[in-house]
Amino acid sequence: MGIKAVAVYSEADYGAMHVREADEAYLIGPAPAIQSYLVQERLIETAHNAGCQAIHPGYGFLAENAAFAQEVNDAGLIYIGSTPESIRLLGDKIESRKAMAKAGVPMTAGITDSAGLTDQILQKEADRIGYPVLVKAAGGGGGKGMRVVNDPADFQSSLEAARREAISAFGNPLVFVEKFIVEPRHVEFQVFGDQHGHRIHLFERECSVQRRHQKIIEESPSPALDDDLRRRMGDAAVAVAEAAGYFNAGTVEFLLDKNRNFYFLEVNTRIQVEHPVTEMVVGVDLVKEQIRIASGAELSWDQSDLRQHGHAVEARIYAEDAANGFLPAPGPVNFLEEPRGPGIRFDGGVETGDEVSVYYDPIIAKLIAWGENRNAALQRLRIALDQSVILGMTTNIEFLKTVISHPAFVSGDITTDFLKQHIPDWQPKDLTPEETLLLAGLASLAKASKNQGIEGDVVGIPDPWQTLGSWQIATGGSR
Amino acid sequence: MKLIFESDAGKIEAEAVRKGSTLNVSSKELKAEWEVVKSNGPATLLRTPTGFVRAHLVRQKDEVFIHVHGRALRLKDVTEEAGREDSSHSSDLKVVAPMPGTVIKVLVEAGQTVKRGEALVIVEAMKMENEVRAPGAALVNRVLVKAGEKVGFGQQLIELTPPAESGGETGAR
Repeated sequence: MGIKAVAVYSEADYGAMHVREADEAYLIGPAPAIQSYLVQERLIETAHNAGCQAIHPGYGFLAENAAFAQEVNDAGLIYIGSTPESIRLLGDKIESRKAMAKAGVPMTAGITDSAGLTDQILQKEADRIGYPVLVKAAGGGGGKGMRVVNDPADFQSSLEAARREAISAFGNPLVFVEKFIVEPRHVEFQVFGDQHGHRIHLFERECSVQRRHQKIIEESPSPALDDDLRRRMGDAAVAVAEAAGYFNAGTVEFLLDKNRNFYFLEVNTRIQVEHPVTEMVVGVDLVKEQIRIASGAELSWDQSDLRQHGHAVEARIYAEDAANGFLPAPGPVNFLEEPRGPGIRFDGGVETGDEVSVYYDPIIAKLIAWGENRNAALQRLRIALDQSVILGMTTNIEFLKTVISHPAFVSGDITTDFLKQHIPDWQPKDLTPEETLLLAGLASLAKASKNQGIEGDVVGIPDPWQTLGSWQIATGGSR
Repeated sequence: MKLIFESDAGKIEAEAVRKGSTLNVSSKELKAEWEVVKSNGPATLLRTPTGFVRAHLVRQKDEVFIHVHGRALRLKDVTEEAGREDSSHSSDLKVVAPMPGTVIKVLVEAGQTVKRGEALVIVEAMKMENEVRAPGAALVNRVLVKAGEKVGFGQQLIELTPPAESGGETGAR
């Protein structure tokens, strides 16, 4: 687009990949995010000093913060996203339920008004909609401040527990109740709007495979939708964006129950981690469109321009120990080789010689595979996971392979309880005698090498570079 | 060279002898002779009787990371420890904080027996709650932290001892 990119970084990200890729980069503080990436004034001041015109908030840290969007606007900069008002409305669970109920968007039975929410009113509503119910924080997300209540006798204690969590996690004690949907699918719609009142959707992503409300595998199209349901959910998603006066990129999340009823859940007011599956299936560049929209341009597409072509699946590669409670396992990236091949996209945040630090989310890369249909995409993803070489830390790659090869996943029969039901306590496959022998042979080579880390060591038949001895090309320096 | 490595997927015990580009490896069950075609940096190429095998490997302190046949393994070199007679499994039963964070909840108490993989402590770091689990069947000897406490990387949280061999007392849990 011919636009220069200015990156900011904390001390922990000194020389990190996003910093190397940027045209300019400025230090904004120490490693803990609260002293760097979350310091709004410093971000805005840095943008001013660098002569920036706009700020893209990404998908972490301040990406859904209405106050930050306001600060950016007040500073005379463009916020690449929607208005502070719409972000604030959609960030409040009760207020957004109220607005969407008014707009006629399907949602779970339950509270839609925050006025005068006493314990008695909450209890009465729970009795009215019938158990199981969900007690949920109004200001929350990510599964915090949330309790499923199966038995009316547990209602009061669950209410208090949810409230305590809501206070500590979000500083807001407000909780509400809604009907709990048993074993739903998580199906979300990518929506887009411009500042001239046009709004469209770019179809769905299914993200049912989750662990503690963290998505693990995302795909598009959803195996659960047919054309009719897709059209109805797409219309509802656009209605949500319209009711909130929302523009730029957003994601409308729905739950889909066993009887194919769908319910509005919430809106993510930013670009999402899993946006590449939409880009690959619809053939668009969503981040580029975000920047166009922010600059005042009209949407590049009408609804009728957009089609889903083929199937895409994304797997999130993390530095974590799936066999040990998914503990984060940050460490040095001693060697990294990206997978290659038709339909393969590897969105990585590190390269050989970098580090996955303890300070931030231990994601290493997003691996996306596209194919003519779901099976073809999954086959490519399996091969690409085999080809992803990441040495120096424990990763979840073997676990991801187990998930996407599981018969229930392959059949498309997935709900948010998939892992609990099918892979409750994952452990790696035991080594076969053949693997043991091969690993022993390779380990002996590694052990005999003198150097540690990324240098490895030259053993065996010397390669031509080594036989050149001290002779070096150009100005040289030791290899 | 005698080799003993531990991994998540099992123990590796073998003998490896290298002469020039020829590598002979034998384990309890199998043995093989391979040619080391290339071992240049992490990228390694072996010739086996049935074809070529491409692998990547790096060593970091007493750990070796190997990627071969689409699978990555993290191997801990315990050859020397195993050589020393009295190195019991006490170190294997260490329960430490995997990262700096805050203890949210302690799930066990002293005197209790735990199974391998059983959650012992919940530590919050990076806004995520992480369960620290028992590395093996054991008896909880001492609990060294309490809820709300800040812990540093590698700090010991729970002291475990190997489970008593005798029957009889199985605990009323």
